[in-house]
Amino acid sequence: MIRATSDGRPLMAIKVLIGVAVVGILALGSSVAATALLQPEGSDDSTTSSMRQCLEDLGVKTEDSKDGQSWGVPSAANENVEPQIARCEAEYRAMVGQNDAEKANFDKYTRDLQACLSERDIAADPVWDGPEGELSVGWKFHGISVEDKRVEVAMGECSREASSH
Amino acid sequence: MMFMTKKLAAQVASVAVGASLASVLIVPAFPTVASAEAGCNDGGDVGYRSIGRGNTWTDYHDSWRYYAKITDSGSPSTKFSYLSVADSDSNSLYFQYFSDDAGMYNNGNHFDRVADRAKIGNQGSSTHTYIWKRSCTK
Repeated sequence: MIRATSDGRPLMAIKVLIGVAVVGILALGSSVAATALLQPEGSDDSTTSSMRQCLEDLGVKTEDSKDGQSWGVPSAANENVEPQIARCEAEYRAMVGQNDAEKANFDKYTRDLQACLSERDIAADPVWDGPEGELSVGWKFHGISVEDKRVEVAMGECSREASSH
Repeated sequence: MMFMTKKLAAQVASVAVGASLASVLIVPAFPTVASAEAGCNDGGDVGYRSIGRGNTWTDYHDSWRYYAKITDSGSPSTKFSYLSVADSDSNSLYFQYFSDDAGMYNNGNHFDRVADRAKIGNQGSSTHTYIWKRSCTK
């Protein structure tokens, strides 16, 4: 048990301990909050920030397709929804970030995919032909038709492999 | 039977050479409508594209039908990718989500709609690679 004395030193020690605990709790709380904010959805069934949910939250009417396997934004029920679409895309992009680290991740994925294709004797080069700042590349193949089924199979396998690195 | 003098033969040859030269010079200067449609006469086009999360890729071509599917089915968050097409004349717009569902993967996703613009969006949690096709409607 800590007793307060006339010189106040134990009392100061208690104040310091409380201060450290408060700082620790605040740090833990902010860490959890940051994780929740930056955690991109994907592997679960959460639709909290999916495109459809985002659009509906902004008042855009959506509907299931006839086969029930997709959904759409019918033009008859909506007018000028491009701004809402752009906003939902921008919100997600802001959440996952478009910074140097993200660019580095994309570059690594591209290199890994190219190397994986090479191991399967498929020569391909990434072509940066999209708008400035967009993480998007087309693929140019050499010595094999882009429509060759082996390309599609290799692309699928190599993309999964590159994503897992 | 027609007899040709040397002078007439030279004139005919001259006209023939001239016509040949003219055709060489004139044809490239007047491309056909089809060739001006950026491959619209060749039946279509196909390609692969890798897109980072939160990014999109847009293709602008007049009067095409679009098809796209994700190549890396089974990767995380593939169902958060989408294809949208828009026809600026009718202001129509339609979205279609990609899916990991086997049937959807095998069948792919396509639009039997004439569009001026197609966009593949990746709202997933990792980079994905897509195969896209477009076919001319003219």
